[in-house]
Amino acid sequence: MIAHRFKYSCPRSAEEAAAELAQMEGEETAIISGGTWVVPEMSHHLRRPKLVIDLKLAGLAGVSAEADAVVIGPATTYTQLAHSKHTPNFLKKVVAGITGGSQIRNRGTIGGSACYANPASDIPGALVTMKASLHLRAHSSTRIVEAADFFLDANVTLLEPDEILESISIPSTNDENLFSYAKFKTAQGSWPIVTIGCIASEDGVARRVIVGGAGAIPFAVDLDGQESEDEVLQRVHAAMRQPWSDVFATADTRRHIAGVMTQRAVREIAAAKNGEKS
Amino acid sequence: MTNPQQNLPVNVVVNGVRHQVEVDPRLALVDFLREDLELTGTNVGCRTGDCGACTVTVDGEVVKSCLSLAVSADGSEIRTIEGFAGEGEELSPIQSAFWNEFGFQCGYCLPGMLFCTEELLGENADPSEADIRHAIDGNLCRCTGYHGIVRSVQTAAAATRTCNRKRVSE
Ligand SMILES: Cc1cc2nc3c(=O)[nH]c(=O)nc-3n(C[C@H](O)[C@H](O)[C@H](O)COP(=O)(O)OP(=O)(O)OC[C@H]3O[C@@H](n4cnc5c(N)ncnc54)[C@H](O)[C@@H]3O)c2cc1C
Repeated sequence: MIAHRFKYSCPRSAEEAAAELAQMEGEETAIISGGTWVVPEMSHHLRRPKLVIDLKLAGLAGVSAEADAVVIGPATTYTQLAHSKHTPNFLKKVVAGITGGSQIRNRGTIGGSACYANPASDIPGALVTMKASLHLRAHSSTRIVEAADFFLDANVTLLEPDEILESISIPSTNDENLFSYAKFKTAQGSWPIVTIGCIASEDGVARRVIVGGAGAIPFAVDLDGQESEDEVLQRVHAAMRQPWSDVFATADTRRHIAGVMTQRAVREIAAAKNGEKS
Repeated sequence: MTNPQQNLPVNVVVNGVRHQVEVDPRLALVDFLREDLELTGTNVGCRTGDCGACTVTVDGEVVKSCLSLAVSADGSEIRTIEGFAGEGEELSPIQSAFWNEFGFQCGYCLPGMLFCTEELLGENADPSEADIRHAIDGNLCRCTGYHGIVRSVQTAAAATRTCNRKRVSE
């Protein structure tokens, strides 16, 4: 049993959830989207919220296609993303590789992963790659922030304590660009050490690589497509500002792997352009 | 908002039996099943979501019950390993396959292995070895080294196919 006591509430909408957060005046709260982070943290006494908000009735799950964007509810699970016809192909590739078994994909959500901002997770880098924007709601205000600005540090985002993530939109222009996604893991079932999302422009040249897992937050490496492989490596190392180290890999290892993986991603784009199977 | 100390009503159907109870919101689903309902076939391993020993289905979805609160399950239908075999069956074809192939030793991981096998065979009647390994990779077994489990799933798949063929030809 979780040791400390809390209030439990199931708001019916994002507005209701924000209204409850507004009353907390800085007291610690936790939001259950899928619960796969937050419930074990409470069980292990690592987190002692005064209020637990369960989003299950808030209507925040689902994927829909709008004129110029795909809109994803933060409480959409990996399994729902995998099955929706509106989910961008790049994101489908990302969610298919989430480990922990179908049990985790059935419960873990895109919004939970974004808000938790774990450096080694797939979603932060994927959102930056897709140029997603995040819609945040407080009791009496809303704002939209770009994924590239949302992540501040390991487990730190722009979210204020009284704000919730209400939706994620991914511009449809993504469809026109070529993407590749790769990650380095030590075993099939393990967490990613480094993730690489690569965007190519219409001419099939790798222009932008988003590196996740190697730093505390995802970072972009811009390319003009003319670089040698050595230069690609140097660009990656130069772009790395907040190195990340944990029990799975040291910062040096991650730095090295990020360089090699980026070279591979650029190669994969070139191969795709030439019609080879990647 | 509720008072922190207050128990909350939970209405669930577990293995076909309805339970209308009040639970402490601090109770994890796995502890509710084991301690309040005395269904101890659902095991506690890591409480971090890594091992899969606490796997059950909630509204048909395979989940790890250490990762949810019991109160979150209000209104849902749950199956535990005790309800894995169908009515009138001692063991289901999947369980028989694990039994015959020596697919387990201590049995601690069985909730995850069985439910993930069932989910896999529901989507793919003829899985490859890679499909099987992917389907069970959210579950840790510390006895068998997984070979026996893979064999069990293959046998279960073959048995399910035969079963379905029989049903079609009947
Ligand atoms: C065994 C295992 C393997 C895993 N493997 C991978 C993997 O390979 N790759 C990967 O990327 N991840 C992996 N994960 C992590 C998984 O992605 C996350 O656990 C999951 O996506 C988090 O989502 P959730 O909805 O369960 O989060 P929750 O636990 O519900 O919430 C996480 C955090 O976000 C906050 N939050 C949630 N929703 C909102 C919201 N709408 N607004 C504001 N704050 C919010 C909560 O307060 C909490 O702090 C794994 C986890 C496990 C247990």
